[in-house]
Amino acid sequence: MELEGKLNPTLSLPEILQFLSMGKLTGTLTVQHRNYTVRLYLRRGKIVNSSSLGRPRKLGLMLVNQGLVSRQDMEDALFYQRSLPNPPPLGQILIDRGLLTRDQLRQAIRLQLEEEMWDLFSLQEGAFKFDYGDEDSVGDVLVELDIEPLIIEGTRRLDEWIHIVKNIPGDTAIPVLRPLVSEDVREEMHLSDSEWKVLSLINGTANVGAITARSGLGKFETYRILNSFLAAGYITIRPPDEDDVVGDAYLVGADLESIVPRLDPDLDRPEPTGSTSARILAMFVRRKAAEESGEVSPTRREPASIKEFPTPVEFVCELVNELMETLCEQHEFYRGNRDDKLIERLWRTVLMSFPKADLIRAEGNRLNASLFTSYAKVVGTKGPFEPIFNDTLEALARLLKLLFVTAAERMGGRSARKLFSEFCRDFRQRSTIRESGDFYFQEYAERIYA
Amino acid sequence: MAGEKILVVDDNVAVQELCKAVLEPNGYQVMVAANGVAALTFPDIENIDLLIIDSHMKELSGFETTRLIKSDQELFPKPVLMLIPEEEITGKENPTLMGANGWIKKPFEPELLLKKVRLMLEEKEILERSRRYMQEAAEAAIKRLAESHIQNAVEQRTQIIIERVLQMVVSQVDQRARREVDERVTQLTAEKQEELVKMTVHEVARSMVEKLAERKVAEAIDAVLREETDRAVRRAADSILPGLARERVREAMEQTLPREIQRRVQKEVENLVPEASQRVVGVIDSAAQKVVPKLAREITADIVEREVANAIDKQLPGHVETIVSRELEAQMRMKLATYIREAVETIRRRTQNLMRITLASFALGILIVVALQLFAPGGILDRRRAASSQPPAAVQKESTDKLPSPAQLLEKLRRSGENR
Repeated sequence: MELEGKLNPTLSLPEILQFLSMGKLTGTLTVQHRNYTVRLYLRRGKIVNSSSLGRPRKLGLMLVNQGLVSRQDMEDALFYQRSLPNPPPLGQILIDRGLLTRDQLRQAIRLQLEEEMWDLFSLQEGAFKFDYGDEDSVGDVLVELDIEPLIIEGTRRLDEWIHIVKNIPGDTAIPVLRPLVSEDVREEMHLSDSEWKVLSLINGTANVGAITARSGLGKFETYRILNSFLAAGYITIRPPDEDDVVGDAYLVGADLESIVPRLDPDLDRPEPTGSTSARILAMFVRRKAAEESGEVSPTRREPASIKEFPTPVEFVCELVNELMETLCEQHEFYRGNRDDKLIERLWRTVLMSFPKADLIRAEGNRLNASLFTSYAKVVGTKGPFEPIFNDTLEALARLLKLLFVTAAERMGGRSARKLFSEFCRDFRQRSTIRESGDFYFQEYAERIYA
Repeated sequence: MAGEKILVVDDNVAVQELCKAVLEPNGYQVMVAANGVAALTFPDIENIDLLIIDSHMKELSGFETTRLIKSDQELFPKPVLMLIPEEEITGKENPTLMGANGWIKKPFEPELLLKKVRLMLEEKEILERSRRYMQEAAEAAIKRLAESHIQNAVEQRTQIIIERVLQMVVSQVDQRARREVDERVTQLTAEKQEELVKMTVHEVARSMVEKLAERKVAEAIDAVLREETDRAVRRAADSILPGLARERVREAMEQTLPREIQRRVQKEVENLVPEASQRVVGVIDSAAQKVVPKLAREITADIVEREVANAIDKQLPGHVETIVSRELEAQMRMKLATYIREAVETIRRRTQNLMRITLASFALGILIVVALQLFAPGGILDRRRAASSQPPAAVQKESTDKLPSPAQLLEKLRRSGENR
């Protein structure tokens, strides 16, 4: 027996969930709205899982953004998960490796489930379908969410949310601290732990989306706190640039790969390669294989002047700068003055997912790596600086990818890829990296198109 | 020592993460914040052992944050390590730190950060320990000082209280002593007064007794004289013989009577005086017991006041004595004079009466003799009647029957004497 229908103002999702809760039913509720499909798993009328939890990358990104697990550890765990024929859940791997406690995992899953539920509650249209099932089909249950309190809280949040979004336009808005009115800050501001967490993330460059991702409090709670700061006069909100091309699809946690086909269906996308370590390992294996088979790396033309970069980060930064110059010379790409700060806007978006990469500054259409260089020079790219180094490199790869997506959107996928490929090859030939380490540019550049 | 809590304040997430990556493996708990306001409002700031603050932050710089921390009385002891960008300290050996406890330049070597953090935490530990010692010492000193002050204050207070109490006690004792002295003086004065009064009364009584005694003596004398006179008169009347009577009367008047009278009077006086004096003293005592308290109540106040003054001056007794003696003397003189006059008058009157009685007795004897000469049988008249007729016998008998007896005559004399 199945239960299905369409959502409408008289039959909302909360009402359907309330019905399932009262009946203490077990099964799967599938909600589909345009391209957005979510499956909710219920056991005896309680929500125990969702399809988003089935996507380990999303949960992993959430844990990384909250600082509970380092990006490197997460990548390793994901690589390990994929290497097994019957992989256990990501959370279990993290617990087994001692990277996360069961309570932390439970809390993260609960937050993720709740966030997803708040998003679903706002759906006014779409289709739903409930398939009855047995309890064994639900699998291992870490969290059980009662539906009744969720509905009550959801209703309250919807009312409040209408007022909040009037003040905070979106994730790209940037909260900025106001100058202190009084020096007696401690007397004036008595903050809860959650409020302080949000306040401590405001640095004048991080936008609301980045703060939401790193706070670990969820979207609604972070917005609510920021709105209260705004009302108290502690902060102001700098609205996003009108020309900001980066929409919600690029926000933290968004699956970037999912939007690429919409931009250019012709693009050849290989299977996701998994973690950085996995990719580095793969690169190392392939490089070794190439060396053993006598295959040479891309032809290096010795240019008149070869630029030397201390680390791959500076190399990529300069590549981006020159690529952007080249792109701006392309009439298919350049769309006027609003593109003069394209890199700055894109980098700000990238930093939402890679906050540790903020040693690289974006000014206009140029990246400035001087601060990173000074740190790398003093600290070195290994040891404590290695996660920052890797994150920065990943962030730059994401930036290149965003730039490529933008170029593909404007110039067409093939033209963009050709331009990018030729430029990268040329740039690599006239550049050298002093401490390249495990960096292998060809593999790195391939990820731009992946 | 591991486990110290460190708050890293830097608007670069990369620097925050770098500090965490350096410090956390060495056992430190690292919290991060991206602005100075968050550092100032960190809810658990009391438990933070060290703050690492970037000097170059937007909105609220690290220097300003440090200044606010160091101007806060509660946060002041928290050590602050300032991260100063290299370009800001070029050419400066000692940059202005706004109260920060130390600084290192950015970018920093991980070992240098770790070393600096360890050093500052050690300094903090030493400072805290020394502060604790100082505090303990200060507390002990304060305690001692407080105890000393308290003791001094208590002593002073106690002294004041004791002095006040002593003053009160002295005052009360003084008042009480004064009251008791007054009471004693009053009592003594009253006693003295009573004694004086008693003495005076005794004196008066004695004088009155004497007066009464004199009066009684006089009365006794009077009575004895009367009795003796009666007896003498009766004896004289009984002794019909004129000569004998005359002699005896004369004898009695000249010899026997005065001596006898004197002897008897003396004897009577000796018998009567003690009894009479005792009775008189008793009467006076009872009178005095009734009169004296009343008088004492009426005049005690004035007398006491006067007597107290005199007693203090020790003049009262002599003065009172003088006055009383004078008064008594005057009264005694006056009364004695009266009594003496009365006694003399009485004696004179009695003597006159006695003389009259004597004269009357003599005249009566003469009359008796004359009568006997006239009316005796064989006398003149008898002879004349016999000579004239028989009837004269009856007349004679009638006349004889009408003549009074000597006793009747004495009685008549006495009555006439008394009437006179």
